[in-house]
Amino acid sequence: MSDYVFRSPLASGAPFIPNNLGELDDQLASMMLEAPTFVDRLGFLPDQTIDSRFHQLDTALSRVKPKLGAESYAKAVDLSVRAKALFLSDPDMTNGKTKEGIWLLDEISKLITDARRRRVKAKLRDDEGEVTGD
Amino acid sequence: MNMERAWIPAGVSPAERRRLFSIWIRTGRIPTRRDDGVELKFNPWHDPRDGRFTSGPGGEATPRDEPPERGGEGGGVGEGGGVVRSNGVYRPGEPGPKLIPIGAPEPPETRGGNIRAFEDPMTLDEWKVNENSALGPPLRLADEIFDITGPGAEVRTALMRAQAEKILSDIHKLDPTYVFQSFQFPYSEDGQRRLIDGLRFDRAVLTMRVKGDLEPLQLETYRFAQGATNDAYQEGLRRIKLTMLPIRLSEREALGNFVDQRVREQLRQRFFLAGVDCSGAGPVRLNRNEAVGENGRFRRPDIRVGDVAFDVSLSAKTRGQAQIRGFFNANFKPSMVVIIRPSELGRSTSYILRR
Repeated sequence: MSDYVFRSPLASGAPFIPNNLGELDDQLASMMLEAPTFVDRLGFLPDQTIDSRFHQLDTALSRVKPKLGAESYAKAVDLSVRAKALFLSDPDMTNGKTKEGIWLLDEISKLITDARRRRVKAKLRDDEGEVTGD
Repeated sequence: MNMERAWIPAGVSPAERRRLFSIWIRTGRIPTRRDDGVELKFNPWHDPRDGRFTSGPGGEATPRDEPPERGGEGGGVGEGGGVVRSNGVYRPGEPGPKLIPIGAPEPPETRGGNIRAFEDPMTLDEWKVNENSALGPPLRLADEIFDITGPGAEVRTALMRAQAEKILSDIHKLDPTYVFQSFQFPYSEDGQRRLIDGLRFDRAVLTMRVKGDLEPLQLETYRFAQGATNDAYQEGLRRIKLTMLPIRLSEREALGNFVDQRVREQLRQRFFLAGVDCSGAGPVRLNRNEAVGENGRFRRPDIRVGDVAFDVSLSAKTRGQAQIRGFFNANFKPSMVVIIRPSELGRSTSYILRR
């Protein structure tokens, strides 16, 4: 990896936070391909770390809390905390904790899928006014 | 690089302007076109009367109805300036002294030279490969713009610097207030790629904002998505083999889903970094419903930039498939659907389906 960092003057400096359940689910899948170090392989997010990734996840969870429901939200936050601890204890993917952490991220993904199904069944509309589960 | 100043003729199209620029930066000359359509480039092996190749500098082309003669050892062809083979020694007193290759081995086959180091493609049409495919015009690999073979680090750096300066100059024409970090030019190849990619993406975004032209952003979207697709496919495959990823129905289905979601998520972050909203309000839309007709039906392409839809897929798709027909029938009337597949699956795996 090069130590050169391209910083665009167009960038706001703020981190991207998923806006809805679908975007959050995409982020979880993406994190499962990055654990346990969460280093950016494409080279456009040089400041990405495990902390920044879990900050995105936790902020997004709180953003979609009304759609997720209080119970599922509490479960998801707990899973997130446990997953992060597992990744931190297996930085070289040598003791099996990374796999356990990935399975916990998948549990969060299932909570999101359930919430989206409920929203479609109830014909609840997303931000664009369509029934997509978001 | 000190180069002779040259002027690109007024009124030429942007694509032609970029082509002329790539020739100028390579040769220091702008080719001229005569009234009869013959293009005259700087090349001492052209017959000045008709632009055709000769076998010697300043020579005449062989008449079209005669087979070309081959110069053997010790004798050249072409009258009036044809090559006279000698022992290859430069003699100042000799009329028209020339450096003559003698007995040099054929150069090894390369990947096509370094012309791409001077190219500045800005649209998907300029990025496609000129060959036929049963599926559709294939697209070059995402990073072929960096396909520089042979030169050492200094030469590569000089080429990359020229590219960066050209792109930065384009950006300043669009937005004179664009302030670029003025740190040292990166020396490593990775760093240079990162710089050019970053500048190209910013130029594309500014072109959209200032001129309303989405074509450069469509190309940069493809290039970024192709890189993300390749990365997600390789990492997903590796982790599935290590049983590190949850599988629901099948490994292939899981891999396809992981690749789709990863590419979308990375694109969201890439657009966000450039200040582009892709949640549905603007011309860039990620994984949003696109209406088909007026009865509530819709299709959902992975990405849409203006009138181009992009679909990330492990399998090849044709225009006959319901999903692709649905894209073309969407109310935004896509001019093309770009199928993006992992490059690891083979040559020309990503391609364009036109309306």
